[in-house]
Amino acid sequence: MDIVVCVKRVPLTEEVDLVIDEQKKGIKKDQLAFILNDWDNYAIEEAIILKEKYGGTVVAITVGNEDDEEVLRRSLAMGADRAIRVEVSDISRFDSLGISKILSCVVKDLPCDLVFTGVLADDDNCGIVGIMMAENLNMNHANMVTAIEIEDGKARVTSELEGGLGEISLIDLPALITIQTGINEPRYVSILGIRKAAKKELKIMNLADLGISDEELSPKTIIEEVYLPPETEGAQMLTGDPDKIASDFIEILTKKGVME
Amino acid sequence: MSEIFVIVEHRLGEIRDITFEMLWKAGELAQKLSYTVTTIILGHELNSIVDNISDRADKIIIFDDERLKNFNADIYKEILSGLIEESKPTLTLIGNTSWGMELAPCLSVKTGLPLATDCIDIMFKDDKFIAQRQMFNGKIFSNVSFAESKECLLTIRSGVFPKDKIGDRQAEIIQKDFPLTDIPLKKNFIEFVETAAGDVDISQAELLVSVGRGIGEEENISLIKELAEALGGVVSCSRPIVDKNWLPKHLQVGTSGKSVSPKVYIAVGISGAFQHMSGASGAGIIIAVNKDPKAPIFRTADYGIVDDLFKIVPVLKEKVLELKKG
Amino acid sequence: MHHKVQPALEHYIGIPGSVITLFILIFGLALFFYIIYRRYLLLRSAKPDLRFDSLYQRFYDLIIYGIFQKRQPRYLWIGILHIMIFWGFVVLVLRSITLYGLGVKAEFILPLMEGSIGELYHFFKDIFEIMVLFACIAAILRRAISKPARYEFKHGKAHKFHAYLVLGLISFLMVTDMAMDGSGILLGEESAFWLPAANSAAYLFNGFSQNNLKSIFLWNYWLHILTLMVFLNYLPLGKHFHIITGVFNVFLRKLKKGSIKPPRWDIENIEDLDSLGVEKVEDFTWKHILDFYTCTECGRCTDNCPANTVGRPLSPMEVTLKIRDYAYQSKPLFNFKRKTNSQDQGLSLIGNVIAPDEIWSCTTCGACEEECPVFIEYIDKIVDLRRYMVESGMIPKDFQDALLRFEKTGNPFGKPPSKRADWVEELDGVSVKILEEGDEVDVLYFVDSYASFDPQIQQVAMAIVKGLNKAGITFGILGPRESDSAHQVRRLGEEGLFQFLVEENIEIFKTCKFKEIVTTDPHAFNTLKNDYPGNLVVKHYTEFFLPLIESGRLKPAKSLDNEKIYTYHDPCYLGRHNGIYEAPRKILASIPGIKIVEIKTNRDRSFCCGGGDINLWYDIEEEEMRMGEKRVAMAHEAGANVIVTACPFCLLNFDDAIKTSGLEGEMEVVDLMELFMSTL
Repeated sequence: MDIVVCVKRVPLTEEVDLVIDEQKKGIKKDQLAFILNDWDNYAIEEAIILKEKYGGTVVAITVGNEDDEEVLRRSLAMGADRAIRVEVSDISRFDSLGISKILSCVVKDLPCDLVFTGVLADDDNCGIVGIMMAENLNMNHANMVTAIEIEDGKARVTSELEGGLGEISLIDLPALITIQTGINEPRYVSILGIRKAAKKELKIMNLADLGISDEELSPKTIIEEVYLPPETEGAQMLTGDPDKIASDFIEILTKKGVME
Repeated sequence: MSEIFVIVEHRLGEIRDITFEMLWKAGELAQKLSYTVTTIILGHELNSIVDNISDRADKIIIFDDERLKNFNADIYKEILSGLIEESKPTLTLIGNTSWGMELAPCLSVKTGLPLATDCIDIMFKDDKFIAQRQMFNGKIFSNVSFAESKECLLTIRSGVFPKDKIGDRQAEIIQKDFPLTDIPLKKNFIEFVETAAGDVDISQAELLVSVGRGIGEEENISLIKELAEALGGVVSCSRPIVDKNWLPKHLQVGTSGKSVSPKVYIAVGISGAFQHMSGASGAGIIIAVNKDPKAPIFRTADYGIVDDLFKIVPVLKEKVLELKKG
Repeated sequence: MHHKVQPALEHYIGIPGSVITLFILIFGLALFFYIIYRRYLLLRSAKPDLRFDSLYQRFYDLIIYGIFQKRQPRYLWIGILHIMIFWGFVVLVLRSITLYGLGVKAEFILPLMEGSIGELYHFFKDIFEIMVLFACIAAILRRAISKPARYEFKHGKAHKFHAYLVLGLISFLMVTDMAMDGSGILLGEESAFWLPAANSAAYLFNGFSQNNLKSIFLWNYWLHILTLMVFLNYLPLGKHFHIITGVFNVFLRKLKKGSIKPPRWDIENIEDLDSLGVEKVEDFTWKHILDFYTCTECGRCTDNCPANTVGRPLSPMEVTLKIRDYAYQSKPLFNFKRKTNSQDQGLSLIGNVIAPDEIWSCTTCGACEEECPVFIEYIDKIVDLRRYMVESGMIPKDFQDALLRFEKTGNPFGKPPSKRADWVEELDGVSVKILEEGDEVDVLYFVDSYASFDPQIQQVAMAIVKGLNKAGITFGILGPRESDSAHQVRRLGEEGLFQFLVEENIEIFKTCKFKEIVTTDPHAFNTLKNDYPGNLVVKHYTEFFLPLIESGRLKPAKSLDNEKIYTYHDPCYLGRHNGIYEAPRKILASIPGIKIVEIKTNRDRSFCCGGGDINLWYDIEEEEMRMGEKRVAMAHEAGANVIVTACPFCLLNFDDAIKTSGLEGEMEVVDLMELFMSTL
């Protein structure tokens, strides 16, 4: 079972007040810490679980600059066999389609039974790249998968649907699967583990190697402007007698669409 | 005249709410810009579904075929791309749901149309459409436009638009035959399963009623459970409640518990220590009930009620139940 | 003293007594040394350890804790009984040698034992024999009647039979020796001294015929030396191995309290190691294996373990015993079966012998190690087990998240480092210098993560800063350049991350000049002092401020005008691990008008608040109550309204515990510095 996993390095923003950059096209990143995208962490883990069960290899790929290699090393430490980075100094000049094209170009030359990506990335929250790759590569695909079993050359997958329902389907391999969080419990990799993984192969390719021209990658969606969510100043207090408060309360819930 | 496509999402014979929400937005834009709204339904035995939306669109295109009984992104893509090629709709709206997120990207590649996902609004400015969406889990908003393209695909986040009818339309119904000649199914639907029934995952809940130590006694927890039930939400809690074994650990929100991102987070009797609040930072809005006006939670909450929770919660619950009956 | 009967000269079915004695001696000692050799093999297969430094200190400790048994009377009565038995053994060893000698050669006598010295020895021996017999009987009765709970096992049956057997054997040895002496007196032996035991026995045998007396003498002689040999061979099989290993274990004890052992003593760069930590028995150091041999099953560790007290699955004693039982079982003394590889390899301890939650239950408070009469170490072993779990990915998700945040942001909250000094802005009128490269100050105030980011602990940092300012100290903080002290990280077993954070901090320390470091947190204080390389001068704020208060540079201006009763809770890493008990008490007492009580368990018997190490990120499911609640109840019982502490984690844990115990309004917790500064 040869598996390719596409991973991305994203900023850790949970506790951070983000600041918009001068061009208003993105956020200031110099103060931020970066991690392996959470969904991709699950994807790597799932690939390694399958490898441990059925043998084969796991290759981790990312598109980015040297700093982004950090997530490949983490993937290698978790148990991936090889890693590939496509050298791109600034990935923000591509849209999801562009990234999916680059990744597809790498994957098409690799032997693989399965391609995993995370459902979405924690930074742009787009959730496009995986399925676009499947279409580029003319591969079968399944989205938001929370369980995978391999049965006679096919994958029995459970896709998460809304409202606590799962959809089970059987897909022929090779296939591309986008991995949802919670599918497994990603193992911890220690700092020592990551340092030791430095010995594993990490190949760097550039766009020229892949034969992709910049024109092919010109974005079709353009971020016009990014901005902070409309300001709220502390809590707006609901006052009055309990009856009035309850009515106001319900109005808010209705507005937010959580009450019918 | 320009056209807006809305792809109907339905499951087990029922229209999903996201369809009505997309139709509302499509209707609103159509009214403003004098466009027409076309809905496309793929499926099998679709009469009740069609009836439900016939007064919300100008045109309903129906592909009714045994082979469309179950959702399949590849078949949907093949049929829809043909249709889009033919009609060149300015906007094609798809739900930002599990299915929609599988359909939209491959449809985008197939048709060559740009795609913006998880949109929370669509604006028409300076002669072009702008999609408003969020990044970094809602910490940043972004406006997205589409280069050189008059047409685009958009997936719409659930719950951001009303489900109401807008404007007055009467749909022309067009039945179409299954256009594809024999595609071998490489992905076969097996069945639907209830996932983790009883084992609630608070990180996935849309409405959380969260309880903190202000609740005082274990038996008072039932008060919160009843409110959550009335609202159709899920109960969660802060650490002291778990410490006392009043609620199980998997319901705990916070640094040592789970991070949640409901649309609405109702915090009852929670003081709002940041270890707790960091777990609730993904919430759409936070409504806090606490008798201490200086409780830190009021700094992060969107709405606050300074009062005894035992006064507010029962009244609120009664009101909600009344409303549901009426 | 000359014996009238000479066992060496007796014949039994034609065999001379001397041959029988020699047979018993040779066979018994051969078996004994074979057993010891087998035990030694396991010790030798273990990892290196560094235990022969500071010899002066070691000999000193050997006298205090080994010979004088200083820790025994921490449990007063049984401690005294033990000292009696121990000293009895020391004295009786010469007698035993003499007895075997007598069996080989008639009229055998040890050098120097001729004449009055021998007589004097005989007198002491006689007295000690009575003492030992009395102590053994008292110990048997105590076990049988009052059934102390600390001898019970949590997970399985206690080895109580062994205790009775050994006490019985010792008593039997005493009785047979007394009977020998008693019959000897009646047979005409004389002594210059009063021999109460021998005389009492003689009194009993009074009127027996010479022949009977001779048989009594001989029977008791043979039974005695046979029993002694059985006893000797029995020692290495169970808890009484400590009679042999105990002194060595005390001599080889860990001297640097508060520190954590490096992953390996013989390999400096952890990247050169194939694996980290302890998976199997052989992965422990040889000293830690000796610990397992030495455990006396007295249960004092478990009795004082806060995790055990609140119903967590951990019992330190049983951790030792489970590993010992497993080690003995997997390395049997007599292996008649053909060796198989799997038997040699041994199982992974984690999950098979020790459950993960036992390992995570420990707060590294050190109560067990403080109590152990033979200095068995627990924390290093627990951390070594954790190290293995961390390296093989076997750690709960909650820790993973926390560790990832440590790695990425240098604090457990995932807060951006740039905000680390934001709390300073809330101070009005007090300026805090954020040290840049090349800056020079007297004091580097190491704030650490909780005081930097947790709003409640920020108040403590503010009090410290105000104190420094008021006392006219030139000081600075590192602000955004400070990383977490990594105390927790090391004790969680993430050694690589610990070293990474240490390097970060050390590099930053180098950029500015300071004379000493002052910390908010006893944990940071401990790790900077005991874990960091380079012998930094580190003081906890209590140590730093006491001289300033005593010299009047900081002087409380108003007295506490309340009726509250205060008590000081000793944080583990200030007290037990670093011996600072008095500085905080003196600061507290310097506040005019303060009323202070002590909690019953104070100073080195302080009860952990729940800990800062892992408790905050991981819940042990099996628990009856939180440690904090237990400690708050103790303070409440002592009659205190206010718990004063000097550790951020104690503050947070007690604050929670007071609320969950429903004592809000009745009890409160305050940091010592905050309290002190409020009186200026």
